[in-house]
Amino acid sequence: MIPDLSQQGGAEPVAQADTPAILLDHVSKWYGQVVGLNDVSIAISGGVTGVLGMNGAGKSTLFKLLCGRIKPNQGTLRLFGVDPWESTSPFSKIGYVSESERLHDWMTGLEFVSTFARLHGLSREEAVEQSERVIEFVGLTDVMNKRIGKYSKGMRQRIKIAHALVNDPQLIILDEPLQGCDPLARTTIMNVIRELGAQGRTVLVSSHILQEIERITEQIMILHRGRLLALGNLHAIRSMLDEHPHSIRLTCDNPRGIAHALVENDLVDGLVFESDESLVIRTHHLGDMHAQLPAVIHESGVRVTGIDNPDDNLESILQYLTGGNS
Amino acid sequence: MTEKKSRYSGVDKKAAALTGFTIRQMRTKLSTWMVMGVGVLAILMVLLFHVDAQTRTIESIDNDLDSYDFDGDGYPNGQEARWFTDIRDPNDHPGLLNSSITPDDPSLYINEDGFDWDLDSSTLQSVGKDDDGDCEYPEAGEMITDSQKDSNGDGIACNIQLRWSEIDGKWRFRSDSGVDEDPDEDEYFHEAMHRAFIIGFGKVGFVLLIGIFLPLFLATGLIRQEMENETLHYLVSKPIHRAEVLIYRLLGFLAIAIPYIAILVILSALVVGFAAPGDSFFRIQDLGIWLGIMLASWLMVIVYGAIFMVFGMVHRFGMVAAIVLGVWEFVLAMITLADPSLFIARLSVIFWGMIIVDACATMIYPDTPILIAQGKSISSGDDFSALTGYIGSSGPLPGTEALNSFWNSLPLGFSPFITLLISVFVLLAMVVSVLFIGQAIFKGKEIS
Repeated sequence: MIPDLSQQGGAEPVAQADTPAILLDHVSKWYGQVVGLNDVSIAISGGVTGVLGMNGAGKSTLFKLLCGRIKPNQGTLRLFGVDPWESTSPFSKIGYVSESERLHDWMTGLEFVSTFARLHGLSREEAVEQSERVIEFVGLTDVMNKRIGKYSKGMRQRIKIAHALVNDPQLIILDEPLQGCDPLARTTIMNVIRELGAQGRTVLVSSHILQEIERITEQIMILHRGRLLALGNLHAIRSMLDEHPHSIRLTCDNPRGIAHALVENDLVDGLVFESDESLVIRTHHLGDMHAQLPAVIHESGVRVTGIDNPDDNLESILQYLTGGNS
Repeated sequence: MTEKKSRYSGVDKKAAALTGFTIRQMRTKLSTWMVMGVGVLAILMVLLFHVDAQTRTIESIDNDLDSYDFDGDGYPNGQEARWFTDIRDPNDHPGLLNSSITPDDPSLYINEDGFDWDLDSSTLQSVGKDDDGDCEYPEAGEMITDSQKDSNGDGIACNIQLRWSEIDGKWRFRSDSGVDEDPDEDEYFHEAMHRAFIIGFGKVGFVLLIGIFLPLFLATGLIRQEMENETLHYLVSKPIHRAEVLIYRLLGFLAIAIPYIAILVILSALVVGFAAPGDSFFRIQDLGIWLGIMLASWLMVIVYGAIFMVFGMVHRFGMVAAIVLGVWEFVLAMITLADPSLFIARLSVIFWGMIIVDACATMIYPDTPILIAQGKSISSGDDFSALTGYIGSSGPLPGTEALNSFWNSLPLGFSPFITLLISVFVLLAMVVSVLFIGQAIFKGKEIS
């Protein structure tokens, strides 16, 4: 059997400079009766994009489509101008970190990364060299000769990321890379992702936790029940939310003292005393309110120990974006 | 490895990487060693039985009853026959003719006339000699005429004529009067068992059992296990064609299966060769058949490996389909063993593997049909008991049935070498088509 050489990666010029790394045009994918992705159109090139959505929103479906693992039912999908279902050539420029935690536990970290690096056409020596480089980048050099079966969850996520980076990809797709990691691994991985974005690569990171994505990037994309709800700057999306009542919780020693100062503020729609130590402000203008709060607090002379947004999470945002039907 | 940056060197690197990965992965699995260990144990056990049978001595049978003394006059039937005395009359024996004639030791008349038949393949006719002088009657001098000595009328005195009958497809025997064959059972048994073992063990042990079970256990999961483990995307979300993934996975399996089979065949060839009957220390002649067995088993694991791998790839229950196919192959293997000329046998993989062994056996031991006919002749040739009118053994010689059941004449109607070439070609064509269909399915397969 002679392999079809036209589908060998790396040999032909895949993308022109102006071809977006990712292009989806009215892409839909369903599994029987279940909709995985519904009429999604996006074009992404460069920088880190956070893909937000609840479980089953279509994040993994989107990523599997991008990696040629599944075929769209409708629409066209291009990676660097090439359909990843038809040709495997774009994969020479892509690194993919799957959501699955299953790995080849019998291999050492270095074996794992270098073996699959050779599927990109690297020689054994090149593969080991590149693997050592990316393993160092994710900070696993000291354990690279240990079997993956002995790795912690954070190490497993990082060795998967190293595997995805070994071919120096232009597009990196990370499906829930922070899942199950301890805070230290989380921070390391976040730094790695930010660094990749800073290097000018296109990075897609999915998560269902808004705060995680917020620490990595401002560019987000929200998926909900297979639909693209929002795509853009996190702050822009937030300001859209200003149209809806929002809550700010202040933790302080004298809630009523600070309420006194807030009652007269036009931005405030309501005040709720949750307990002796906390005050919830209702407002339609979250951004402006946050801008004015420091001054108000300062003037009131009350000692505030904490400010947070109790509904500032993905669920709340989704609720607003879908008109309360999420 | 050179630093050539051509597409082909890229293919080489990917092939080496994926094949090497598959080998290492299989090596780390306990199931691989279990399956191969069971295979080694089974082969060793069968070899042990064979060596035991080969070292056993088969009791001699007086096939023509000339060592007996029917009339109890002390002279064995064979001795009386030479002197034309009545073997059933105690008052008629050589001692009466000449008192200096003392009775012979009856053991002289056991195994005294071995098979020495020459096959003339052009006329499909064989002539056997009368080794012990049953019909010469030298002691009786001129008492017998030349025409009496050639009662079967083939122009040769005191011989046995063996002719292939196209009508009923059997060897027919006609012997000159008084010519009895009394071969050495022990010698015959060991020769027949030696050939029967190589052919039978090659066809059933290697081609059928190893050929099916090794791929069934080791190749069905080549793609399926990666799917179940959710690790297949490490292979397919790469700049590599899915057809290549299939081929290199199969190559990885073959890199283990092919040396494994080679080692087992060489081991068997050594054991059976040293245990072979005959004067030589080692029967070198057999190696031709062993090479055929090795080739056939290799082709079996390639074909079944490709089929089972594709079955596993297509569906979660591919193993079930593989087992169903395995049963089909078993049934047709039995048919092939019984009668390879039945057309239905050709609708299997196993048929083409088994006739490779048959073709090699025919090339190495072309006289085997004669050997079988000889073994059968003792009980079926009515002229052989010409002397006594009785047959000493009720069935064919020991070992005949075993040899007869494993020996098959070539069903395709070609010479052994052409049959061999056709079988290899058919099996290779099967591999190519299975992989071609498999990669077409694999390309359209969603990996969720």
